[in-house]
Amino acid sequence: MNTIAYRLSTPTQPTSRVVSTVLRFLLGGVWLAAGLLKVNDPDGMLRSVRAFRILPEALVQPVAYAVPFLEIALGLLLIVGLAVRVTAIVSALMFATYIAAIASAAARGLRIDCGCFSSGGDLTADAPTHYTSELIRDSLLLAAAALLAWRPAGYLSADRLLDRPGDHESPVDDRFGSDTDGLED
Amino acid sequence: MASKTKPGGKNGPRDRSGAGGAGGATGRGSNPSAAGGPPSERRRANSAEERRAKAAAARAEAAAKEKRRRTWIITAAVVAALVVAGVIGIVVQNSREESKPVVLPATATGSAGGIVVGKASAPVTVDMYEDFQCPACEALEKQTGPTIGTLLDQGKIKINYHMMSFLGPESKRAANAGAAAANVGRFRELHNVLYANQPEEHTGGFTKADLITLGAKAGLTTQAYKDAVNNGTYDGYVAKVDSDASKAGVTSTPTVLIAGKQLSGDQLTPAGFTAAVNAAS
Repeated sequence: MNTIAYRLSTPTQPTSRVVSTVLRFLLGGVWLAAGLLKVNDPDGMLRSVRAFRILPEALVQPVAYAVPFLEIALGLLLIVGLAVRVTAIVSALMFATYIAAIASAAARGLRIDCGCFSSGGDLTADAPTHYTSELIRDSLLLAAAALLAWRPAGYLSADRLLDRPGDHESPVDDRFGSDTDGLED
Repeated sequence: MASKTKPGGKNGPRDRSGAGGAGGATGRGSNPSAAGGPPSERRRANSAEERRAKAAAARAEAAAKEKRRRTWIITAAVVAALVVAGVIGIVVQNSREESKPVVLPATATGSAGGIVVGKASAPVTVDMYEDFQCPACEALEKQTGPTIGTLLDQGKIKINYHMMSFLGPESKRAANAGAAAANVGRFRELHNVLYANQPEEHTGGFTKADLITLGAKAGLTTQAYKDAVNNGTYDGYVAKVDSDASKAGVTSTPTVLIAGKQLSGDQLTPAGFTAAVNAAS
């Protein structure tokens, strides 16, 4: 029963929880770093989003301005461990979007820096693109996010703290609430 | 857990002892007195047990319901927080980007605010998108710059310079100085001096002091030039040129258009450039 696969796939097994915790901090750290590196260069972010030539001009600015803040918020939520499944799913969706955007840019032969960890945008004519490594990195992050969405329960998380009182209270208390209990006493 | 207890709680005692299978069967089997007694007694015992089971199921269901409710509240709150973070980003970055006034240099009379160099009567218009900090532009200027200068002097071409600024603050400072030079008709002089003295990329070069020193080499010694460099007088213009170029789909520098047609990489040589100009005139 205690095969590695069992330990990893069973949510209550410590191994599964440790893996989940590590993935959570890793993803949270990646989001925080990615967001903080971009947040102080709105111009670069604007150029980067525009360089992909996917979004219409009207959407370029809102997306370019919102994304770094969204990334920082995701990073904080993941590190705190609040609603881990939801933040992991949102993370996975974002990585999938990035992968699609980079792949499409590569397919169209655009020469752009993806701007993943800094201001990207148009490259000068002789600068190398790193589409392959960017795609591999984002795919790994997508896999990590998917794994975390599947097994969100780890250690050191707000979710765990929030879950605890419910486990100890009797269900009746839950249903009627503590204020009516006070009246009946 | 929720899915197991829910049907039991909903469908009442009869369904529970039947569908509950194992629980119901062992309950009856392990209690011989109840099983062997008169039918009424058996019913009473069963119903007491069923009531207890029903109550337990109801409690479990309530607990599961409460947990689901809490999960939904947290989920909704987190999703709302993410949306709010995005909106805050849009508002904060927008206010931060509060655009500086666009001051056009005197010679920025070309298309899309391009700085025009060359004789107005020249038959061929060249659009050049460059960044003072871009090494590929420096290579082009070194290789083909003299040819371009000759064509300008011969009156065969006039150039619209669109100085982009995406290689850090040094790009922006240099482009601002370029605009200040353009304002007094010395853009070409400063342009050549800056490319001849291009610092390494991303090393914080082209400081204001550097630009004033280099400006002097291009004959820009007035206080007005120094003030424009120090105050970033043309920052708004520089930002506009850059964003217009990016909106026009310029994806790299140098980008050279001769009579509206973009040159390929191998046309950027002196021979290729001259041939393209001749073809257009």
